[in-house]
Parts: sequence; C-alpha cells; structure tokens
Amino acid sequence: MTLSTTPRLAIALAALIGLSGGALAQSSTALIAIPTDSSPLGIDAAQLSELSAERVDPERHRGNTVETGTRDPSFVSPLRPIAARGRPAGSALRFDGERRTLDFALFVPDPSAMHALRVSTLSSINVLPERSTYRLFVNDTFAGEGRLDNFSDFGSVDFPVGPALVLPGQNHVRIELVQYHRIYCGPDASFALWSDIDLATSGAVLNSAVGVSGQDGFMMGLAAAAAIGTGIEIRGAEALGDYRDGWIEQITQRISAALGGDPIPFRFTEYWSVQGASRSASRITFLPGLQNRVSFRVAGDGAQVMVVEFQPGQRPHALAEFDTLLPQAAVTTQPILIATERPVAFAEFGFETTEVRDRYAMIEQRFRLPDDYVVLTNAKAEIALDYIYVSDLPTGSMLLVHVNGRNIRLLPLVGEGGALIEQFPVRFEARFLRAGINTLGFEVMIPGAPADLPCPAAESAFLAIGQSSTIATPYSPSMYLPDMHLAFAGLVPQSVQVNDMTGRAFDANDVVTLRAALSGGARADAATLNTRLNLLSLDDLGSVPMGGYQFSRRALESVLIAQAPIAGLTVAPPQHALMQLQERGESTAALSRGWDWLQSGFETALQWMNPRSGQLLDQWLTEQHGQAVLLQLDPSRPNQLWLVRAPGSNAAAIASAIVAARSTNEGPRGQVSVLDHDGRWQSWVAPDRQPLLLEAVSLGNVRFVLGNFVSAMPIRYVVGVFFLALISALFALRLVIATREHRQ
Amino acid sequence: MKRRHFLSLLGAAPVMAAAGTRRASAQGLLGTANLAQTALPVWEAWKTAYLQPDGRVVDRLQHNASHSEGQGYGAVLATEFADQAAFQLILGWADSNLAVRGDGLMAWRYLPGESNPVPDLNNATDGDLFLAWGLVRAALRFDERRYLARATLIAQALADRCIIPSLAQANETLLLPAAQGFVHDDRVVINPSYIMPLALREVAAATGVTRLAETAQHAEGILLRLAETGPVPDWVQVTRTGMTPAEGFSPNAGYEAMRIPLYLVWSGLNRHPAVTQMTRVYDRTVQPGVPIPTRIDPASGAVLEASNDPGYRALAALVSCAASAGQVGSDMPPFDPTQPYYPATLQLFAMIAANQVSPECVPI
Repeated sequence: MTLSTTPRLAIALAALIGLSGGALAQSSTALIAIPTDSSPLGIDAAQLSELSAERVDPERHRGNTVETGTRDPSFVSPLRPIAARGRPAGSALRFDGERRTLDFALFVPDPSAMHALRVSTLSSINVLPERSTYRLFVNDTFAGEGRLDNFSDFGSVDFPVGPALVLPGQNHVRIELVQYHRIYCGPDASFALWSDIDLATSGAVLNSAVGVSGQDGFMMGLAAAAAIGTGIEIRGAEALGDYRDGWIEQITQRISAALGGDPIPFRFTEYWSVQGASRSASRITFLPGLQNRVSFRVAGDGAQVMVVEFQPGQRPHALAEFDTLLPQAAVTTQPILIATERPVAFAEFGFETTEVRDRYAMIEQRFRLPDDYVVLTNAKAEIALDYIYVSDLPTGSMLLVHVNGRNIRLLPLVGEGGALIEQFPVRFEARFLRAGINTLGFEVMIPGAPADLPCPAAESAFLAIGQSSTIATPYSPSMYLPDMHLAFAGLVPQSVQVNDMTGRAFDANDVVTLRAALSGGARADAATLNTRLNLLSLDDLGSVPMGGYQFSRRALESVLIAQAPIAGLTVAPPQHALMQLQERGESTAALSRGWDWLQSGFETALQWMNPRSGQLLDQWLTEQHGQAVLLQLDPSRPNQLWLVRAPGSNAAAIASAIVAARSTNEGPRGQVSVLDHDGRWQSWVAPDRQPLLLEAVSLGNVRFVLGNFVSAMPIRYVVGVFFLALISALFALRLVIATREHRQ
Repeated sequence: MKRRHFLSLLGAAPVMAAAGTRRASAQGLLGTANLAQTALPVWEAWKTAYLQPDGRVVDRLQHNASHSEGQGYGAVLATEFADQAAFQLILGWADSNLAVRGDGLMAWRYLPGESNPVPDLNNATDGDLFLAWGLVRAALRFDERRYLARATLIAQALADRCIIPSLAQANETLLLPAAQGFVHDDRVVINPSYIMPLALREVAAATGVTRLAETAQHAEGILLRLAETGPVPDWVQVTRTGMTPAEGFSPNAGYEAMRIPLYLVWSGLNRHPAVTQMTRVYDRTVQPGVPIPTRIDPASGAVLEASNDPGYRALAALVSCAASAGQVGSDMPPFDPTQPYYPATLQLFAMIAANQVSPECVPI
C-alpha cells in the first residue's frame, strides 16, 4: 500500500513549488511589502504590549491541568457475582435478611500488584452496626471481617490481602453477611434488613492501572465490564461486511459462556464516537488488515482492547490467542433429575442437612422431574421429613413446607423440641408438581423473645432439616401438557430468530446480547428441542399463531406501554353511596340488575363448563405491567416462542432474566408470561389446555391416562357421560316400551 | 498560467479529501471516510458544547471569550462536516464582531460583557488563516464562489501585512503572529504553531496568493531547524544571527507548540523532525491513565505540566501513530464534550488529520 493520496500530492506539488520557491522568493522579495510595525490602531507600543500580554502569557493554561501528586493511581478490579440475578448488571448487589452468602469472581492480573481487597457497603438504618458484620473469604481462605456501619453513603473498607491468598487470574471470593435489627427481633424485623455492596468500587485494589495490559488486562477489562454493567463495546464491526454476524457471534458467545453470571450487554460503536456517561472497560475493535492477527492494547480512554485484524472477504477464523485466554465455559448446573415412584433422599438432588439460625429463613432446593411428567389427578406425593428443633422456641414458631411456591403443610415448632423427628409424613397433591424444574421450599419463622429488643448475638441453630428426608412422587404416563417451559429450557444462541420487522423493537446490539446470553447454561439435550425464539415488534403481533386463544393488541400494549385503563376490561371505580341508593330506588333498574345477575351467572357457569381462554387472557393481561412478554399459544408448535418487549426496555435485563430463569422454576410457564419490572416472570396458564399422550395406551397406564384427561377438563366428561347415560336411559326406556308393546 | 495550474492542483486533492473521497492507507485497508456521515455525533457534540446559536465559538476557560482562532477553527470544522448552516453562522458572527479592522483581517479577541468587547484590534494570523482556509474549502464543498472572494481578501491581507522577509535569511519569509507588535529593529518574534502548511498551500492554490505557499515552504525549513535540538518551542525570535528563545515569551513547548506536529501530520509531513521530536516525548511519557504532557522544557524534555483532557491524548495518539510505520489503530479516546474548547477542538482536528492522512490511525 502507499501513502494516502492527499498528502502525497500536496508534498509533491509543494516540492514543485519548492523547486521554484527560491526563485520565487528571490524574484518576489522586492514585491513583498514589509508591513511597517507602526500601529494603525492608534495606540503606542506600550499599549499594544499591554493588550497582547494575556495572549502571549507564558503561564496561560488552555486545558485542565493535573497537579502532580494529587492523583491516586490505585485501581479497582471489581467483584463480579457468579450467578445471574435477572437484573441489569452493574447495579448494587443487595443482601437481605439476617444471613446471606454470595459468591463472586475476581480477576487479578498480578497478585503482587494487589495491596487490598476493597468492599463498599451501604446498609438499611435498621441494621445494628455493633453486631452486624460480614466475613470475607478469598479462595476459601478467611481474609477479614468488616462491620456494616454505613447508613447514608457507601463506605469502603480495604482488607490487606497478600499474594499468598490470591492467584494470578481468576479468584473466588465469598462474602458471608450477618445482620441484626437494631430495635426488634423476629420475622418482621428480618424483612427490614438489607445491605448493598457497590460492585463498581468493590474488588481488588491494584497499585496502578499502569502496566496492566495485554491479555491479563483484557481479561480484567472483561470482568470489569461485566461487573459494573457498562458492557463490552464492539467497534468497527461494519468493516466485516458479509461475515459480520459470524465474527460477532463467535466472539460474543465465547465471552458470555466463559464469564457466566449476569449477561454482558454488547454495543456497537463507530470508530469515531462520543464519550458516553460511563467509560468502556473493555472493547473489541475490528480493523481490516493485510493479515489475520489479534493483539491486546489499552485504548486512550483506558479501555482494555482486543484488536482483531482481519483480511476482508475471508470467513471468520479461529482466534487462538482469544480462545486460550478465556477460561472454559462456566458450567451452569441444571437441577438434578429425580426418579419417580420411589422415595428419593433429599441428598440425591443436592440438599444438604441445613441448620437454620435466622428468625426468618427461606430454604429452597430445586429438582427436576421428567419433561413428560403430568399428573392432574388427585394422586398424592409424599415428603418424609427428618428435622429437629430446639426446645422452648417462642410461641408461634413454625416451619412451612412449600412445593413450587404453594404451601402444603404448616408444622408448628412446639412440643417436641430437642428430639429428632424422623420421616414425618407430609402428603400433598401431586398435581402441584410440574414437568421440568420444581422447587421445594422450607420457610422458617421464629418470633423474637422478646420481639421489641434486638435478637441475642450468636444464637445457636433453631432448626435443622436432614438430607436423609425423602420425597416420593407418583407414576405418570408419558404425557405433555402444553407449556412454554420445555421450549424455554431448550434456548440456545441459534434459537433467536429475527425477521424484517424485528428491527423495530430489537436493534443489532440487543440481538447480539440475547444470543450471547444464551450461549451458556443450556441443557445437554437443548439441541434436540430445536427451540425457536422469535423476536417481535408490537406491530408484528399478527404473525403469532394463536392456537385458538385470543387477546387484543391493546391488552398487550397495556402491559408494555400504557398505564391507561382499557375500556370494557377494567373494573369501574366504586360509586358514591348516594348514587347506589338512587339506583336501588328505581324499579326498572332493579329489573335490569336482576337480568345482569342472571346473565353474569350464566356466563360464569358457561365459563366453568367451557372456559373461553381468550377473554380470560385479556383480563389477565390488563392486570400486568412489565418489560417483556413471552408467548406460546399454539400447542402444535411446542418449540416456538415469541418475545415482545416494551419500548425502551433494557435488553440486557431481559437477557439476564432469561438466563436466571433457566435454572429456576420461577421462569416463564404456561402460555403467556410477563417479565415484570422487578425481573420476575408472571405466567398465565390456560385453564383449558389439554394433555397430549406421548405413549401407547396399555392396561398398565390406561387408568392414569384417563384420569389425566378427565382431570384436565372434568366438566366436559361429566356432561359427556351424562348425555351418554341419558341416551342410554332413553334407549333402554324405548327398548322396554317397545318390548312391552310387543308382548301386548 | 502553468503555475496557476499547478497551484490549482495543489489545492484540489485536499479538498477532494475533505469532500469524503475514500482512499486506502499505507498500513491497513481502512480508507478515508466521510466524517459528515461516520462522525456526525462528534460534530453535533462539539457544536452543542462550544458553538452558540448566534455563531460565536466560546472558550469558557478564557473568561468565555471568543477568538478569531475559534471562529477560524469552527469554520474549518463546519466545512469538514458539511454543515453549511453552522459555517454561515460562524462566518456571520466573525464578520459582525471581529472583522472590524477594515483590512479583511479579524481582531483577535472578543470579550463578552465588556463595554468595548474588542479592545485590541490587532489580529491573530492563525485565526485569519483558518478562516480563509475554511472559506476556500466551503467554496468547493458548498459550491459557493462568494466564499472564495472573501478568502482571497483575507489571503491578500495576510500576505501584505503578516509575511515579511526573514532577518536571518534574505530569501526566506516569515509568518508573523499578527500585523502589529512582533517586528522590532533587531528581531522578529514568531509563533511556529501558527504555521499550518496545508492551509497555507490550499489557500494559496485557491486564491492565487502565492506568497502563502512560499511561506509554507520556508516555514517547514524553519521548523526543521528549530526541531534539531528538541521539541519546537511556543515562541522564538529571529535575529540576523539565527533563531533563539523569544525574550518575554514562553520558551517551552506548550499549549501553542503542541499544534505543530498536528499541523505537520495533517499536511502529510509525518516524517518531519518536529513530529519526530514530539513523538519521542510522547513515547517516553504517554501511558494509559497518566496525564498527557502539555508543557515541556525543550532543552531537557522535562514535563512541566500535564492534563487529562482527552483532546491532548488524542493529539499525542495521532502523532505517535502517524509517525510509526506499520501501526494500525491509535489510542485516541472518544470525543468528550465536557473538556475545554481548545483540547476539544484539537481533538476534532486530530480526527480529521487521521482520517485524511493516516486512516489506519482510527481509534481502537
């Protein structure tokens, strides 16, 4: 390649001028009128000098100067939560309740350059500082203990951490937090306790960012971008031309899979850009070049950059430096699949004997049932619980057992304190269980004694639940109940589908962020599920197969956009009592009310006998508000999902909620699921969905199959059998009459 | 006639570049982009931060003053970004408030809120030169011949009042910092950072005022001699025996002189010793997170003052990248409109220079 044309031409022509320059100068010297320095401005030299003084002032500053020694060169490599939280990355991380433990990843390029581990906290005013503390562990080694005593602003504590504790590269940090209410004791007091950790300012304090570069620097930049939520910038992607998507997916999905946790937002920028509100910690820059190579550099804004030079027109190639740099994909463990028709010990699906020391605690353990597990009958499942609690607990102490958020048993913690209670039977309806992921919950409430004083320090455990407890679930024929959870479990990057109208709601950054977020944590058999996640704009709702259900666009808009009530679908505000009195006085109105009552009763009965889901869905939607809606209405397309988002919603937050939901049963369920503004999925399950049998009917399963079919819509079978009986009776009656006529 | 033809060609190529013609760079495969499309948000940010609706370019750090320099710089930027409305505003304000001398040149400073906002009618040569350059480029970009007539008036006035023969070498001309106040019996004080070879040549080519092109040629030689011992200082005086630090002026390579390597690179003179000298300083001092030198002792190379303004970092990144053979991608930071006017404007100049001369120096 050659120098650019402009300067070359300029130089060449300048040279031409230069050749004749001397002659020109010589010949024109006499022509150049030397300006006299006598001022035409009407001022003398002294005045002129005074006026020019500021202009030529040697000390004049033309920028913001930095005084030497005033800058703190230290630099923080931030903590990054390991688990996705279903919220935008970068926000402060909240610990609530009395005791919490959270795990973080921490990248330290050079342990010898790290002089402290900094933790910034802010606590609720209810927290009692004298007793509320957190303990810090680095790579499972105790590193220090801090007090929760910052109530108005974040305050930080630096824990000296030597190179002996810290490994070069990735480290594991655990924070165990204990907090007490300063006035009260008990479950209510527990709810009022919280402490936040500021992720942006908590982490490894390095002596200086200077020298942190290369691959280590890039890894630290990635971790920082993930931790503080600025995301990773991709610059120059347009130059990739036809292979843009291939390149981008290769890199973004590798990064997301390796880092895990909350999905990292990706955003595309031009080479020439304006500094945003937050600085980029990490960037990938594509530059067309004469050879394929990767280098790691620090940009002018401090971002750690992986520069990918590529030969235009060539397919994406493997980036060896990049692949070896990143850790292997983070393993996101799915809940364990348990056997049915036999007692399964809690230990078999990961529950370990747990001691409860809090006045309020919610212990949850997830397990998985087969995807074709459907029990709609009144068959019973049973938990055989091993537990023990201390004697003399305050009155009102209780243990609540939940299955999928539904309370199945309340166990008062009274009368048998100090004695191990073994295999205590807790029977519950097996229809509370679901195909796929289920959650077993134990909620413990111990009132304070007294309740109006802080809880005593260093309380011993109140209760323990044994891992030897078992759960037994009944037999299910192989059936499928239409539900989006199965397709949701099969989401992989290739699942994300866009069409011509997708761009109205999801830009290129959003699609890349979503695809990258789905690159880790998928089930092993995800490929066989062949899930398709169609990204839709509100204008494209007509392309969603309705499968016999109905809902209006306005209802969906009310979820995602408008707060305005929808006429005909909302409850009218209560009338003034006087108006009601007047109404009662009008006889025609009384007749009208009676007719309305009859009509309403008829409609209710009809709805009970033959639910019309469309109307119910519309009504349900009017009560929801959220940032995205996931739809799967057509049971004949069990692998298809449709995602509609609210205008202005955060794609990274939606991606995070999807990632977080992949391993919990709080994910989207049923036919429609709304992701609310708190990052929780609110699901609507059609009341008239019908199970599908996936195996042949046999003598062994016929009773269970029929039971499920009948239980799914009992009234239809009651009516059907009733009519069958009626016809049979009529036929029998006719037969009897005919026989008697014959005899006569 | 021949010379006029050559000079016309001389001006044509940079203007073509300004109009967005794509060219490939030496080291990489990136070409010159049309910044009016690829960097429009940057220009909009600059306008929002520093350009008033009436066309006044404000330097808040200097008591909210405006300078002919700012109006000239703004005119060149508006042309680069194909923003004729902004160009017309900037030009109109300059004509109404600074073009009060009557000779085509502008008074160098406007002080808002003063009873006499233009107390000093003396000009600043660089402000006039950049305004003329902006007019020349605007004439082609916006196809407005009247801009060229105005540029010719300024060019002629510059040639008449601000170019004199050197005391040291009779066949060499000097570009004075202003029409008044810098010429003495025994010495002439010059500001090397007022020398913008590309601007001088393009204005000369378009207006036919050849003395500007000759002065550019001579000025490059002067800069070459000044750079023999270190970075070029802000001010020097030319006597019959040569060039020395100017008495009563800054002897350092500071906020003025930092433009010299920028202008030389922009003019395609990446290998000029003045660029090389500054590259050495930047190579030695510029690190991520460390403030950029803004005032240097030319003799010792010691850093006397530094700044974190992104514009200065962009300047250093451009100079280092353009002067380094084989480097692809530069360390220029994103444009930050919260910085003062001067570094912000230099950052845009660095962007334009990189785009036109070293497209491979895009920010990584």
